[in-house]
Amino acid sequence: MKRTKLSRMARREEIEGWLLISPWLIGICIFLVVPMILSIYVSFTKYDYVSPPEFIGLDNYVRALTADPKFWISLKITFLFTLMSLPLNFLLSFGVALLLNFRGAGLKIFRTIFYLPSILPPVAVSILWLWIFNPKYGMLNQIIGWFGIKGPGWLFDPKWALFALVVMSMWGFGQGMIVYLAGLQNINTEYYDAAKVDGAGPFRIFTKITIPLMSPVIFFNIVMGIIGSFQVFAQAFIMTGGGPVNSTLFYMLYLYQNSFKFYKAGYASALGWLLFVIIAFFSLLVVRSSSAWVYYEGDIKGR
Amino acid sequence: MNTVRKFLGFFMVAVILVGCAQATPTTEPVTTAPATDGSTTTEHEAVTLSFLRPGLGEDAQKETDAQFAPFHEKYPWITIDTTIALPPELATKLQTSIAGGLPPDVVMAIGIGDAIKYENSGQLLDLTPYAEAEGFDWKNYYDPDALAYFNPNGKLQCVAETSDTRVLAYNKDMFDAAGLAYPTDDWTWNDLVTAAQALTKDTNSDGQIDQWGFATQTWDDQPWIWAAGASLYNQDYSEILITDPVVKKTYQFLADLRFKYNVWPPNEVLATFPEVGFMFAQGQLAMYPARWLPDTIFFFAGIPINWDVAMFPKNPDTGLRAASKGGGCIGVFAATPHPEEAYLWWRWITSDEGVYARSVGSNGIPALPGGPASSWPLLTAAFDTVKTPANAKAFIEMQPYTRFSDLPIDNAAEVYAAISPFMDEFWLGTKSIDELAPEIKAAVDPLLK
Repeated sequence: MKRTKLSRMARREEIEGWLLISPWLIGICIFLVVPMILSIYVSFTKYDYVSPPEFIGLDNYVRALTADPKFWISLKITFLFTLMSLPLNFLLSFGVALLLNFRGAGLKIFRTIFYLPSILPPVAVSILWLWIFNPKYGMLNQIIGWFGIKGPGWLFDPKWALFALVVMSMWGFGQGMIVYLAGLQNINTEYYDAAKVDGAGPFRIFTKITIPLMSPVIFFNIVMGIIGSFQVFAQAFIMTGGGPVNSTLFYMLYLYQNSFKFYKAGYASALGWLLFVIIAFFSLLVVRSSSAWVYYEGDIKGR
Repeated sequence: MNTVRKFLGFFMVAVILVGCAQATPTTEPVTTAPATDGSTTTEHEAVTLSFLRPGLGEDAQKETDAQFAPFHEKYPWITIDTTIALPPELATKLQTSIAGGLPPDVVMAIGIGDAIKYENSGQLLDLTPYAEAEGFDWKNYYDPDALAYFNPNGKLQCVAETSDTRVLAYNKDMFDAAGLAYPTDDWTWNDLVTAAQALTKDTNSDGQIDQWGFATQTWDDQPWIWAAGASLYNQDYSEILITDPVVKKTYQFLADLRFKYNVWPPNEVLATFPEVGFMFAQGQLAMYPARWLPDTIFFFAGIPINWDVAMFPKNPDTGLRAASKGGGCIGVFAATPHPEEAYLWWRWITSDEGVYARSVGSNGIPALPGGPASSWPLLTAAFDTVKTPANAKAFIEMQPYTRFSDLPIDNAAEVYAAISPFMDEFWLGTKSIDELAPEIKAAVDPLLK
């Protein structure tokens, strides 16, 4: 009798649990799973939102890979951006996190100041940077001008536009910084004390204790960084529209153009799935490499 | 646990209520309207039409409501549920609603590329039978050029919402300070260059030009080509004619304005303003091709600059002048559950009464009509009331020289995107038109039909 009652209670709790998470479940099914499945189908069709989709097999994928130079241009630009922004953002966010990890007066204020920019809306940030980068009236070239150097055309110069967006991407380093800082503060100080007792210097402590113990956090940030930088959109959409001379035509922007400017929903879906494969490939590469350089507390490598 | 149960109970009740609210058919009240002869009354079921139009927020909504008052007096059983969208968002909003199977009943400002696509796919209702049923001579009522442009298949599906043009706006104070005579109707491009050079100045002697002689939008290049007696595309839009020597010579003239005569500010200067008109309104530009409504209402409202307009200068070789016009058309979507009422509404807003009501509207400033020729005298008279610019009638006088510049093909956006990177190089001065023309042709021709 008692067992039956308990099991009924458990069942009721289970039902209540499902009901409680149902808004989220329904939401993810309607707004994520169903559109994803539909977009797989649409990627095999010619579809302009107006006429019914026409099945064309792999044509969209073949066209992207073999006959569309803008596909490769946008992919190259996105790769270059990732290659430049990821290390720079790592160095900046990790470096500032290390500085903020020292105990000192006003650190809480600095943490807040450094973190704040990363929570500002991308549209506001983009408009702000449009002014900062303006070659004639912008703050950046005025500062460069103090040293007698004529600043570049930034967003108006095809040679500099992508780099300008890389510089701007560092504006949001606070997000990574806060994760690194949390990781640094989670390191047991006993390791440092023991190392000091053993005579290890600051550099050795950093390379042999801080870096290995921070490696799971670095790993997490790299994976998230790869995913994020492959999906850069707002800055280019607002600030450059992909120009000048296609120098900031990011993959996501090109995908958007195909979908909402050229109304090629089938081709845009195919581009989306190709991006999914690319991101998955690089993320897996990092995940596979992690066994060689990511250390978890208590792990003994080489076992 | 009790709290959880209460929450779940509330949630379920809310879900059921929402479900019921959507499932219950709305009962439409019946309105009695007076019959036209006043002797009997005709009963009509109340109908609400969804109407998507461009505009800027709440003010536009209030203005719209005021403009539609004459229609509501005439057809009190028809309610217009207006949605206002910023012009760039309107096309996406419309496209999304079509993809979702719920387009608005009537839409204003459908771009030419989209209009053709919606006409060909049957999304836009063929209004010809409705017009014929009431004996409406539509072919002679609307502007024939606009009718042919928006309805290439010969059916009545979409009618131009407005007609605009560009004239030469100039800052009178700058002309006075330079001791120059104001532009006249016999000005040529040479006069424009001479004046622009005299008006381009470093007024505070800091080594930087802070007053520019002339500027235009880089994308508005076609009128220059038309005035030179050529065209950027062939007649059926199957080929770009950019390698034509006359077209190249025109582009070279435009490049000279920026790089040789140094009167047209570079992109980084222009980019600090949302539109060229803002630069003019802020007293940093002496002349530019101004549009009528956006420029007069939005840019110069309350800005104390001393300005006027003249007809746009002629090409010195051909003696021709030209200007571009854009804008979209007004159509009824075939999915409407109320085609008769939608036709009545469409018919009214494209009639001389409707054009006049929405053009002069509550702000008292007339717009240039895109539909019926009969509205022209009304609007021309309305232009007489315009005080600034003093020569506002130049906008009407420029009409015969004005053409639609947007490509009337359904993949126009793709064509523009293909041209854009090449033209970036041209306007940056890194490549000449001679170098770029074959490259542009190779990239664009395959996209043209």
